[in-house]
Amino acid sequence: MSTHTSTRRTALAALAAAAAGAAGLGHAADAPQAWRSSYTPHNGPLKPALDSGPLRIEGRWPAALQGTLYRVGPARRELGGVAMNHWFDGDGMLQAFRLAGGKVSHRGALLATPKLRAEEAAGRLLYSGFAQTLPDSPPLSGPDTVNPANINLLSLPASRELFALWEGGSALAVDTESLNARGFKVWSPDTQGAPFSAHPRTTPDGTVWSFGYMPGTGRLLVYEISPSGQLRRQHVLAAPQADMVHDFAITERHLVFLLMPLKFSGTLGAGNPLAHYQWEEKSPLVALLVDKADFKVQRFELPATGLFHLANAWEQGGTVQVRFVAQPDILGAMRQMDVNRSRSAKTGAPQWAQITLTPATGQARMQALGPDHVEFPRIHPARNGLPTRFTTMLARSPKMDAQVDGFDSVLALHGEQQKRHRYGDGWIAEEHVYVPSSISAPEGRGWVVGTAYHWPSERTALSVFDASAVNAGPLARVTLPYGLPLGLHGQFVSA
Amino acid sequence: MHNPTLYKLLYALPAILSAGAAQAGDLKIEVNVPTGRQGAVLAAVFDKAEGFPRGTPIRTATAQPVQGKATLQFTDLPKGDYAITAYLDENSNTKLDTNLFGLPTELYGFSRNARNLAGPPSFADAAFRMEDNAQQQAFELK
Repeated sequence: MSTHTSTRRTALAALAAAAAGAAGLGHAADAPQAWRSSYTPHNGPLKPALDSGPLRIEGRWPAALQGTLYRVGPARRELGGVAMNHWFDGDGMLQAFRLAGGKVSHRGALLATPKLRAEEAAGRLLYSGFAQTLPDSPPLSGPDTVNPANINLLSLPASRELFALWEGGSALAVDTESLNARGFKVWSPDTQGAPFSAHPRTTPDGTVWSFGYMPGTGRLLVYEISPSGQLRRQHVLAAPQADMVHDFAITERHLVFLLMPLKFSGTLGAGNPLAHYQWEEKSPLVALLVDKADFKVQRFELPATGLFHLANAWEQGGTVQVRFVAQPDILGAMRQMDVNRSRSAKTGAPQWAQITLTPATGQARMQALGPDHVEFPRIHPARNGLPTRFTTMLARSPKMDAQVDGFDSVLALHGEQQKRHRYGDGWIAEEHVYVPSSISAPEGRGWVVGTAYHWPSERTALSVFDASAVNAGPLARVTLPYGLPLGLHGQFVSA
Repeated sequence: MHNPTLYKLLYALPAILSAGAAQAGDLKIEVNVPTGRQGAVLAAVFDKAEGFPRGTPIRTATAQPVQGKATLQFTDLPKGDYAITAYLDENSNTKLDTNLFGLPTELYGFSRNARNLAGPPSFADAAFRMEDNAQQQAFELK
């Protein structure tokens, strides 16, 4: 790394620390409370939306990078003395970082779902969550009774629509400006109130593919949606091992589902589901290759592994290539995802991996690739289903505080080449997205944009990197005058 | 359409003939519907776990909600255990619509407000006992 780069990075870090200090609030979370500290300000009765106004920019913000980075994640975890501590629980809060005319500002608002409104009226959290059962949790009318809209976003630029997504229920339409919840989307009478994945995939022509699953039903519901939001097709697939399907991938011809040997044997709606999942040692990872034209399914078996996220898939010389992050001990990992918990020694670090499916022979192969301790892979947004060589992801460096879970680095993987930026001590990085300089730009040109939470100052910063030189540190950064709850996924919507 | 008085007599006949061996009572059901929702409330009465709630009920009734409340009457029900199902037929197709996972997409409810996300509640959870006097039950559609 050049001296120049190193100096710039040090200068930015000093500026961030100074900005945090200048706020004068005297926050100082210790490592074991790092995660918890990001949620505490957002607990309790509903507060007004956060509005930063124009933020002071450190460094030089790229003038051509214009649009909004929307992010969502669990935020409110406590109301009326009742707390929900699992990473996946908590009411969704939508963040909007607006980048326009050389100015950067932030707005953040909790999403007023039926769940949030019912609990606000009751003055306490009422409903059991993913990992926690509340006594006297009221009966549910359907999954949307407890839909916190807290995992990801779907943008439909053609109709200027934005949806906040959970995976257990409907997509929640939200206003792109006010960030107010508008209500659950009904794509068709047959899919009303049915689960809609938190990881839909948009093809280069704007078509959206998504799916839904309900643990224990043995079914996957596939949605094909036009660029302007009309449901074109819906189809139910028999999928016996579809008890937790967080993500999938598409190619030009196929849908690719990787179904873990993670079995659900509980009753939906009766207490927390996590307690009723079991790892089936002797069962394989099942890959389903679904023909987009007629929904015909070819089934493949692979060595058992868990996973949350796929990066991409594509057709290549008679094979289907899949890139994903393997989570060998996904159940153990999920059981430890508690905001109050210090990180404990883990087995089976998440591993960047590839799968090759050969439809003609029925052969399936899995292979670990370079980086491990990684997650949140992101690709060029217009290359879903096409070959990709450039992926950004988060990485955990050995220097990260052993008591603090999560990631401290952003990694850009271009072919075999890895470029990393470590945020430094006291930082937890959140998902970073790749924003190409134009939609037709070659892979690797443009920017990498993402947030990170600095627990000693309890502040969140947004950084922008040159996608081809992430290791040079941020080109520019803004630090919010407050901290945001550590969240999940984001989508960049170009102006 | 039906003559309630005639029905009452017909249903009462066995009770009268058996001289008190099988007594009967009238049941009034109040079904609460969220305000602003349109459609008739369709209710069905079951007297045993077998076939509940998707089989053939022993009685059915329909009523339009007035100010968020639909009132339905079932007369001369023999002494015993009963469970009621009801839904709001917003699109007037006389069936409870469901999505592709089988989850209802119209408002529905069961007596004693029994409810279960994974499927209908058991007969036992929704059941109440009728003695030989008149009785009233109320529950919500959600």
